[in-house]
Amino acid sequence: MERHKLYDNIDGTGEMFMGLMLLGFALLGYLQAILPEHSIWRTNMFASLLFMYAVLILVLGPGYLLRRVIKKHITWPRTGYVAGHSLWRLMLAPRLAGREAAPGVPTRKGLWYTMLALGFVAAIVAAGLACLVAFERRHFGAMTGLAGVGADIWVLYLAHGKGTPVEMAVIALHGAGASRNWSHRFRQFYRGGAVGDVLRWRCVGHLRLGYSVFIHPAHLPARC
Amino acid sequence: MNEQLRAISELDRVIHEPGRLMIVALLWPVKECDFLYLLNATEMNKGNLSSHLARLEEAGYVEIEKTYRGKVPRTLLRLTRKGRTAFDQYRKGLKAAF
Repeated sequence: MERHKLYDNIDGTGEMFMGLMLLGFALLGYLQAILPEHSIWRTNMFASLLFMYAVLILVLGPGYLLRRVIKKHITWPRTGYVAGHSLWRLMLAPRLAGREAAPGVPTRKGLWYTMLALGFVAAIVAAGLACLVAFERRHFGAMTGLAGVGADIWVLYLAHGKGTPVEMAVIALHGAGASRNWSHRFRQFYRGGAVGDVLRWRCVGHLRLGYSVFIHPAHLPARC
Repeated sequence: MNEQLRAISELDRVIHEPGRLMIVALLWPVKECDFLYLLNATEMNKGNLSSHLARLEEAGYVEIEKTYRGKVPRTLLRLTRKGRTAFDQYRKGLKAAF
């Protein structure tokens, strides 16, 4: 019954987007490193936040559009289109209207689990960051390791146990990347090493997209 | 007739047919999908799927919207509120029976 969730990343666009996100972070780190010492973008907190958002939006905006274009022109004509319920329909609209959600719409329980999981991940990341601040470089490795484990858990979720050769290749690629991150220090991961991660996520995304196109031939327009 | 047998006899026959049950179960957790998604998921042929959908539409359980994406026809499908309620009742009935 939850089959539609498997379609979220059937074409690897999630991984491509992840690659772009890492590219955004790497670019941000690079730009911050080359900015003059007394630049307003480094000294003023609000200006640096604005700078950060501008860079991320510039990188992620086209990535989001690319994802939509791939889904619309490559994925949906092959696998079919399916859309889950929005957060608004799931929780907010029924509450505002003072009624229960429509029967069958997955409501509070699943959403609460998701929020708990997100809170748990955020707590781990916050604890890692606190370690970074408190113990400086000694815990960079641990933080990177946690990031690698997190990425692997996400990938295993996306792989959804199909066990196809491409899925196995995806896991192997991510495993290699995570183990490389584990053995490097955070700073290297964040700056120079990030390029490798960008390439890895992009490669994995393209691999999955290629496989999806291969196993789902284009259909003639469906008539009902 | 005892309660369990009564629950079985009162099951919704429109939903109870395996093909239609598959369709409703696939539509139940999603907002909407197109004909191709159901075709891939159920592995029925177009004719069978189409006739089951017509039966469900006739019962008011499924809403079928025919649109175009460019020049390509596209059939969007979603479960109506009545369909959701019926499927919910069907699940409860099945649980009560077994």
